[in-house]
Amino acid sequence: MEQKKGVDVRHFVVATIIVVLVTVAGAVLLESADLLPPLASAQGVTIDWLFAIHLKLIAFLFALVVVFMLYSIIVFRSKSGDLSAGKHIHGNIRLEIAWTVIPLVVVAIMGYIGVVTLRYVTASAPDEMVIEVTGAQWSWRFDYPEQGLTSTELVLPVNQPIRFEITSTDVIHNLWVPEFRVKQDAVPGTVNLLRVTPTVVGKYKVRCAELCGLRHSQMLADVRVLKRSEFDSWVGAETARLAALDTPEARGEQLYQTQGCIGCHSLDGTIVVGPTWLNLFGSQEKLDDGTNVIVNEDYIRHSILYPGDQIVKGYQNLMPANFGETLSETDIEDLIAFIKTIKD
Amino acid sequence: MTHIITSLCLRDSSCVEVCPVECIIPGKPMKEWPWYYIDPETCIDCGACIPECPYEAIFEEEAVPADYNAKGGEYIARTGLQGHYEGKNDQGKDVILDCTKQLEVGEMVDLTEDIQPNYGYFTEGVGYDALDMQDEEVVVSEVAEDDTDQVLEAAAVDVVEESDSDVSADSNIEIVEERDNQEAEVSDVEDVPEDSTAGLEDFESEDVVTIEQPPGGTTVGSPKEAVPAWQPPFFLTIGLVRGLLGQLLGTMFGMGLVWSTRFFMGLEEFWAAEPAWVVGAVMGSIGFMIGVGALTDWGKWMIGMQTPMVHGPPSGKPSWFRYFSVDYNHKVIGIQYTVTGILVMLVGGSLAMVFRLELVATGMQLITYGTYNSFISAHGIIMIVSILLGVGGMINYLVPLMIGASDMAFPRLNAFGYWINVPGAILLITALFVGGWDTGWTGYPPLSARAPIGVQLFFLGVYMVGLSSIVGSLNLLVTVGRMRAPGMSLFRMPIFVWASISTAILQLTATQFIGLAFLMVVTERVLGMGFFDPFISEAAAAAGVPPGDPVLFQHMFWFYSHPAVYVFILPGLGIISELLPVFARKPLFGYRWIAISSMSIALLGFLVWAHHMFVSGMSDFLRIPFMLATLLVAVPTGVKFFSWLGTIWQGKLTFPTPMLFVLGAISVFLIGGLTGPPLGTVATDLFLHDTYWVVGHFHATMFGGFVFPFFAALYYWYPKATGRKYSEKLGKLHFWLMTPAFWVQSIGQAAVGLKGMRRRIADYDPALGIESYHLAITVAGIVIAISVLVCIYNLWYNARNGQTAQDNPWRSRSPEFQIPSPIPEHSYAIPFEIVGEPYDYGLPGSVYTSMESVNGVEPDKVLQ
Repeated sequence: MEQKKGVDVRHFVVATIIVVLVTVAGAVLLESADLLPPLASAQGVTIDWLFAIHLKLIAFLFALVVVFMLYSIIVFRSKSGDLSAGKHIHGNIRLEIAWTVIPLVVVAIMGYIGVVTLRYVTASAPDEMVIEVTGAQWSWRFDYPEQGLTSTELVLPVNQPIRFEITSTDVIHNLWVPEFRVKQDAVPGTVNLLRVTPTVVGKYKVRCAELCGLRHSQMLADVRVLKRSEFDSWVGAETARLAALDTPEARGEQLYQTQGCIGCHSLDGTIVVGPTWLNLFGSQEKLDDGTNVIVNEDYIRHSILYPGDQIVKGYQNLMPANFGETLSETDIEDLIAFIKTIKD
Repeated sequence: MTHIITSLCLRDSSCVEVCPVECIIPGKPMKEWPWYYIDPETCIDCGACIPECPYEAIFEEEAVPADYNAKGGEYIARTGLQGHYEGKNDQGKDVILDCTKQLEVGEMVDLTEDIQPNYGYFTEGVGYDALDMQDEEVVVSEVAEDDTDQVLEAAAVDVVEESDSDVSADSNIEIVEERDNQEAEVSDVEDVPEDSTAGLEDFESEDVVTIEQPPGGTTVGSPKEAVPAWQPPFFLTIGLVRGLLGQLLGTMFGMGLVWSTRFFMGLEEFWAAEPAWVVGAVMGSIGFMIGVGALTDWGKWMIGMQTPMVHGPPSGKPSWFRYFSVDYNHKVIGIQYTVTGILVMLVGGSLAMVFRLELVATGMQLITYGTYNSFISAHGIIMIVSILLGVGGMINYLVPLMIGASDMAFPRLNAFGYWINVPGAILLITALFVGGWDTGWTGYPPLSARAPIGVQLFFLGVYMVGLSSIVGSLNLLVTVGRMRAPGMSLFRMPIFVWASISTAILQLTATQFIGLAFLMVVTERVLGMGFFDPFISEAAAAAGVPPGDPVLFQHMFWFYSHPAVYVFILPGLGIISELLPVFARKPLFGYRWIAISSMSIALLGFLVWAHHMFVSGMSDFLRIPFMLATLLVAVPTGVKFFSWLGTIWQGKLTFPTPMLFVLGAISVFLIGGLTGPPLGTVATDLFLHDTYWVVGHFHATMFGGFVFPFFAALYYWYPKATGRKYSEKLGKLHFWLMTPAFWVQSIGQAAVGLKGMRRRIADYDPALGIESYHLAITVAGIVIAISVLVCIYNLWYNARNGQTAQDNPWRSRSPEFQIPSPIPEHSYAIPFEIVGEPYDYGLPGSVYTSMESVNGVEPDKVLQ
């Protein structure tokens, strides 16, 4: 009996040693593997730190379960023809308490770490720059209220804490730059906040991370993180460019890019989702109720304000219906002026 | 308890005459069933037949000799033997058999081999239908045969009519008398005394009171309103066919209703598609339920009619008939659930094959964005429906058996609960053909408020399936609460029953929320309600109407849909806990802790829903309590893992296919479990949310928590359900294809997620450099699909052609393994008591049920 007990303990010790070895090997392997995209934000440092802790836990728990399972499979397999039963053990109350209480403690620690890291990741800074982000099917617009700029490209000064104020004009989108790690939903009707401090100069991409309909996968925007001086000169250049938009056509083109028109209407004849604007003005289109219409100022104005009314045959009613609120009368006239210029 | 007629029987009919309950039926066709058989369900064990048999062929079941010592000269009649026998029965009719053997003095014969055929005649053979069949050896002429057929058919219809329309406990007697008369008439017409009905002539009505039901069951799906003069063609008597017709007619009726209403209201576009589809879908589902016959009995009750509880396969119908019609036996319903689940899984899996192929390379090659979005949405919900069906199948089939109940508490509700899934699944598949929908299975508004019409059918389909969850779980809770075998205290229930009630509590209390949430979007679209629409008209705003809130939907949706994933995995984890002790020959380690861990996972499941909404913009502070509650789930889950390890540690492990799938399940569920905590802590979730990491995590929990255990259960109970063996070789091939492929798929998905692959995108950026990963995931997916086809072939082919299985192939202590395979109609011929612990493997002399001691066999000593 004594000797039998010694055998039991030996099994346990051997398996435990293997667990330790596999844990170390697994942790080293996971750490050396290049799992994540490059890191480019201050918030991401905390996230990657926490993720590294998770990876170590994963390595340990994986080793614990897999080693004990494989050990049992190999060592305790029944010899062929052996019909006897295994050891009659119902349970062990001390073990049960141990593997309830120890995970509870680990969970408490992870919970505490979780709270603290969340605080770091969402902390505000005194000198935040505000950028208003508007998602629309399927484009992004970035408004810089402090600089008085609007852009379809997200340009950021490095090491500058940014507060994104995110909303949407239609369905739920999600602002995510993988290199910045953090993400936040863009919910119509509300403004959600997201704080990011870019730390590495470079080019990235905003990738919409919430399913938002047909062209969700293509709802991207360019991101450029610039040195402070470069950013300032970009602001200067943009301001000058916008100021130079003195013709309705030029202002219309700017609106085309910033108001989301570009997401669905091409200028080169390809059909994205909505009708192309190439040679649109003055053409005759067949509507889905069978009638024909000449595309003139009135038709375009009506279609911008009430997109569901007169749909061209073969297209779906997907266009946001709230341009009456976001565009002024001048804006609409500028857009029409721009559309008139799109001819080959 | 029953008597058995053995192959010593040479079709003398004197036993038939004395049997007070008419349970002795002649075998037909004689080539397959050469002797007479006793229906174990009906036999009251009176023993009156034994002295009547001139061949001494009848025994008590326990007394059937395994070493019958031949006196010499007697015959045995078994299929496959070549000997010829000619003789006469007690009525002087010729008996001619070509499958006999004359025994020599002292020849030893194992007559216990005849027990199974005796049972089999009523489960596989024609059983009581033999009374309606012609005796092949007494056919006089072709003409006579035709006439007789017609008369017999008419007689059968009369009986069916009678038994369906006006049956009370008393009128059972009348029916039997009626039948008796008609068969006597038939005999007259033919002018040949039928040996099978010979005994019925002396029929005394007071004896029949002990009969539970008229001989030969009938289902509700059979032609109720059939006028005797006209019989519907056979295919129209199949419940499923009638249901589909009902759905078609109901849909047309609903659409017509909407269009005519709109027309008479003077609406210009009275032909509008969307309201017509919505009302059509609802009416179609009701039409299906009426057509299939799931509402018939309740309808009769409403007008004061009584309905018999009919058991057994319907008379005069092929054996597969009951599986395609309304049937109240929980085992039939369990198989209906399971098979439907597998079929639905094939549909969902095929969709996955298409979009996995699309994802092999960047750019769009096979399908468009719209098709892609519809397919991923449909894949999600169709697989979820398939899982719910699989869960329903396992619970319906196993729980009554495990607790010693004869059936579920509410058999009609049980049938309703199964059949409502069918129109639901049809709506989901139809949705793909009316524009599909691009919202994912989550159906978040405002996207779902502007998606194509398919989204309406998706919502209503889920609504029907949800109804099934609610009534099914109610039924299960009552069954477990009220119908356990004597002595089965809560902590002596098989552990799968614990998992089932945890699941049922979740289903009963949470499903309403997804139904409500979806219904609100349906009304938002059709009636213009503004629950979730943040943009309201100026007039409404001026009138003080608050704008709708899209995030509200997510709370309602996840209040069901998070607990739902525990609905999917808890039964599977129960299967793991149930099977491990059997294959480790060792008690379940920490039974009570596992039982309580199931319940704690269920209860915690209600407190974690908002972890799906960490980036939704809900109140920031809410993220902290939900993060803590989410991490807490790790504790009971850990208890399960450690208890499983404790169970196999120092066991005597064997590895037939079910055990392989159990171990595979643990390995795969481990991947799911370990990828969970990084999603639980908010900071890391801000990165991982809505990436393929989540896709990998979810698929691993579903495969480890449901799919692998489901296959383990299929293989494990297959011999019990069919009486036949599956092919171990193909079973192992299935396992060794599926498991490594799944590891590759799962880890691949997690890896591309970390690289920046978003969920639900039709196309990805080549700059991510993950094309090779996607290729590996796709190849793994295809291998999984092939392995599932191997499994289906294995189970399908061997259901008819497999070797006969033993009653207890796994040496299990569970009650369902102490009775014959396949399980008789009423499962337990005698009620049993629970006299021990369920998993005392390795404790000498211990038994779980009183049946084991009655049989005098301890499972550990039964040879495999």
